[in-house]
Amino acid sequence: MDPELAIEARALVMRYGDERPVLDGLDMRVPRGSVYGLIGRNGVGKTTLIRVLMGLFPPTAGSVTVLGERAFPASVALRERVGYLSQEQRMFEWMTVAELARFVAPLYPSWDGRYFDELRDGLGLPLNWPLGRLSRGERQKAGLLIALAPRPDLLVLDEPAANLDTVLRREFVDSVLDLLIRDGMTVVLSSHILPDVERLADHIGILAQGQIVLEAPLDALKESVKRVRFVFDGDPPAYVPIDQAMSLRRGKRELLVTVRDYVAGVEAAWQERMGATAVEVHGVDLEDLFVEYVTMEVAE
Amino acid sequence: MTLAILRKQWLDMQGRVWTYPIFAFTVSVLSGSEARVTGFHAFAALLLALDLASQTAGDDARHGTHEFMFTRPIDRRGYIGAKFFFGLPILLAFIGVCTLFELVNVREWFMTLITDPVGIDLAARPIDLVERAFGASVIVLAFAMMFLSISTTERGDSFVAHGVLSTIVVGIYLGFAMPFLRSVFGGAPSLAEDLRTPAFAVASFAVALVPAGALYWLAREIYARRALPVPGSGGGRDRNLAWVGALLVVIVVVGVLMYLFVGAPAQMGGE
Repeated sequence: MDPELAIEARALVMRYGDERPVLDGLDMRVPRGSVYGLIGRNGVGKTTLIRVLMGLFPPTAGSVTVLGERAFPASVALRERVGYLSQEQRMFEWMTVAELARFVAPLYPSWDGRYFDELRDGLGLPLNWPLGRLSRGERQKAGLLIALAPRPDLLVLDEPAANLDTVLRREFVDSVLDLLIRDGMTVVLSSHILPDVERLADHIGILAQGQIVLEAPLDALKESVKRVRFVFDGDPPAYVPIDQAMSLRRGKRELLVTVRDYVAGVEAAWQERMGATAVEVHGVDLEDLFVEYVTMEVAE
Repeated sequence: MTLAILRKQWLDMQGRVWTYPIFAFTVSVLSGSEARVTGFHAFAALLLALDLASQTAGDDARHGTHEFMFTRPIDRRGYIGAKFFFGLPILLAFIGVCTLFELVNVREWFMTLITDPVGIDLAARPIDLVERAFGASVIVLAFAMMFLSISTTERGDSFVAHGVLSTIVVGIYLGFAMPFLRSVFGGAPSLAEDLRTPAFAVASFAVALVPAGALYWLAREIYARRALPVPGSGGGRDRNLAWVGALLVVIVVVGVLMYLFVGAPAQMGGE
């Protein structure tokens, strides 16, 4: 395994029983120190992938390496180095935050009590309230606290804010953002809420059709995918001679083309070829990027 | 840590712990009135030990906390084993309740309550009929426990682990172990008397321990190694258990039929 990678999956296949595979020959490479946003439509298999990475499911075929070790069966030593928080993660509701910490702390040699206190203060969590009496957002924060207090090398978050309302979600993401800025650990964040991912991640993996169809640093991706607006005197031409075009949208006297592998300045040549009177280049956000790639993948 | 697991174990079991006194009462009524822990009590305790073993494996799955626990740095087998160990005091309490029921002669009281109003002379009843009723009651009880466990389980995750395992032990015990032991030791006129013979009680306990141990191992391995029922995972995990369940149900049915129609009556009086 490449030592620069925190996670590497090769030709990963995962199926439940005789059903069609949820993951079908998936390759994934998560660089150490990155915040990797795993995105995909609902039901595409993000949670299954995360659970395979966490060693909860054995892969049907292929290999998965996490922090240099086989993901399944995960050794105790590996689990000590990985923090995990899922969307539906249920903890013991009768325990208070303090009791949960007392229960879990002895399992981790690297548990940092002072860091726990510091994080808890920062997150504003009551220490002596049972988890069952906390709000959803607070319970998720408690889960995050437990995941972070052992100072893991890898933090895996599976749709951590999906069940929260907008305000709580924003608050939760801000908390995570603060922590990530401070700690610089490797993070895998699975979510279908793309603005959250865009705020947190520096690498993106798009999961579709059982495979990672795109994996790249977010900045590079944004640099390479642009939306180009051509303006015409009359109707736009029927034929658009742009090989990198991902999608076209025709308007009255204008044409919007989303292109990949964009190189600065190339739009002038396209303008001339199509006889456009003006051309503008715009950036795209992660949501647009995602829609372009997923719809392209489905079309292909 | 230790106290936390103990407390956790207690709370995990709260949902079903109320069934134990009922079971203890039924066992006491059916098994006899002598104030000592009989072989049947040992067997009943064993049944609950199995229940405990299977449920401890399944508790986290039922409560949805398995994902949290199984992503902690723990050895799954060690964790399940620890839970089982910490549940043993509940078994001891169960045996204590059985003994208490015997001390207050709950059987006598219950039988009088039932038979007096309709004028049934229990002593005049043919022994094999009592035996069959006794065996059938235990089997019905086991099935009742099984369905009880299903109804108290969110997704039926512990169907195999709890209900069928409990039932299979009853089936093996009554269908195979009892006739075998009676043929080896030479049966007393009644099964109930056999059960009160210390040597027989010890032997029956030992024989029942073999399938019980095997089933405990099976439950532990299934949960620890591969079957991790995860809500919303598509149900593939449950299917891993289904074939085991089907096999066990077949064995139980065979065991029960053997007891009711072949084994026990033949050993009892040469029918």
